[in-house]
Amino acid sequence: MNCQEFERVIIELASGRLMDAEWRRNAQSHASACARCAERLEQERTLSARLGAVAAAEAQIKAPDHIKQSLRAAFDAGFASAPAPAFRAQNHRLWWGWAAAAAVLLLAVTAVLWRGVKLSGWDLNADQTPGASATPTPRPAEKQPEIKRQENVAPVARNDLATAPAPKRRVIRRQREVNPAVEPAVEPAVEFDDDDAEFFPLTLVAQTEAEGAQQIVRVEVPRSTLLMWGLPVNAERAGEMVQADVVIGEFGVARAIRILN
Amino acid sequence: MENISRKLSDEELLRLALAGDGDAFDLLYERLQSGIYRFTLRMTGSEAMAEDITQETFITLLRDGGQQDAARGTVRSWLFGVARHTIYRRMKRERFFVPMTEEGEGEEMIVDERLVAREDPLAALTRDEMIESVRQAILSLPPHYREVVLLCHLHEISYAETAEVIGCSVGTVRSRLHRARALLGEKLQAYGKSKDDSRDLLRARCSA
Repeated sequence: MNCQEFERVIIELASGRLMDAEWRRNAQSHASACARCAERLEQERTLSARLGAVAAAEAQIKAPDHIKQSLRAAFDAGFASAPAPAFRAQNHRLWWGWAAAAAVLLLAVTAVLWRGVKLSGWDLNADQTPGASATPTPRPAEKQPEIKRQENVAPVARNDLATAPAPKRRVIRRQREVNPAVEPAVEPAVEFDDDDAEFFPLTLVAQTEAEGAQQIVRVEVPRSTLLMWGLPVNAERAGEMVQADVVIGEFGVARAIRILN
Repeated sequence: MENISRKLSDEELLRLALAGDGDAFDLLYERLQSGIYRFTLRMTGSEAMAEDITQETFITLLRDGGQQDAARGTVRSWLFGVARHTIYRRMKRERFFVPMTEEGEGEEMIVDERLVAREDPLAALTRDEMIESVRQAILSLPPHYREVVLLCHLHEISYAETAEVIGCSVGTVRSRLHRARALLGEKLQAYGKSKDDSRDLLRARCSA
């Protein structure tokens, strides 16, 4: 046995734990021949003796009686209904608080986007056949206008949203999905020219979904909302509306925004 | 409790307790409470915290004890695992790393009278000092080192069972224990040196 192998079994040897008899003999013979390892063994034995003294001193420590009484009362009352300690309830309250905050934030974003779509002149009912209701109620999914990028436009890589400038002269085409059986006429696409503004990420998730489907929607947003998101707008004109492009990711979540004016 | 045989295993007692046998629960509690309480006490350094966690651990046993799988470990190791999980959750939530005993707690430390009764007062004082220094050294270890020292040395649980409690390999237990003992040795050596220095200072003052 060499010093390295001795070091592997020194704790068992010093603390009297069960170990292979042959290993024990080899370790003891090594310690008798190696002064350094003999000193190490003596140190470990001293430490083991001290730990053993603590263990012996604490062997009679018991949990206070009131714990047993409380547990037995809970047992007798039906332990399934035993009251949980307060901190567990606090944890649950904290979790629900975060969930409620997330829900409120999601509702606020949805409301802003919905308002922005209406204000930017994209009347969802404008293309309906005569006689259709003029109320702003959203139509079924197959009839709703969908904003798609042209195929020759490079997709916005979401992991680059924070740093990469937007492509120059990118064109966004507004295009309806039409059910030919109902609406044979296809409305000409309306094109918008973008400026060179930069996208700001709105969620931390943006960097993890580089390949997912996404859409860009042009909206009008109150400056106060942009201020709330921490975007660089003039606070003195917080009540005014600004035009912006919003990148909508999967599940309808707004991923990034670009201010146009 | 007389109706319950003390030869029953922990697993059998747990099964009876979960079926509503109060005597079985009492006996199981008597077997396990001391270890769980001492473990939580030395992990947290706080009596109040140890009482809370011990109570919650046994409530968990009553509520979720049916999930304990005898094929994967003993009731004792499962319960130590529950206590450990609760301790870490409390640590994470409250960040209460307490290197010092609470006010008045030091005087209430229970010391086995059989160890000190027949010794002279000076030897008893020295032994108490030594024990307290080891306690403080253990409490000052990082939690993942502290727990292996407590389980393997103060509770004399095997490496394999300690690995079950912690949820790691036996090799990890061995390496952590090795490192923990090295840290303990350093701390106790520093403590012994500071004590020698104070004695030298006292001797110098007396002779001056």
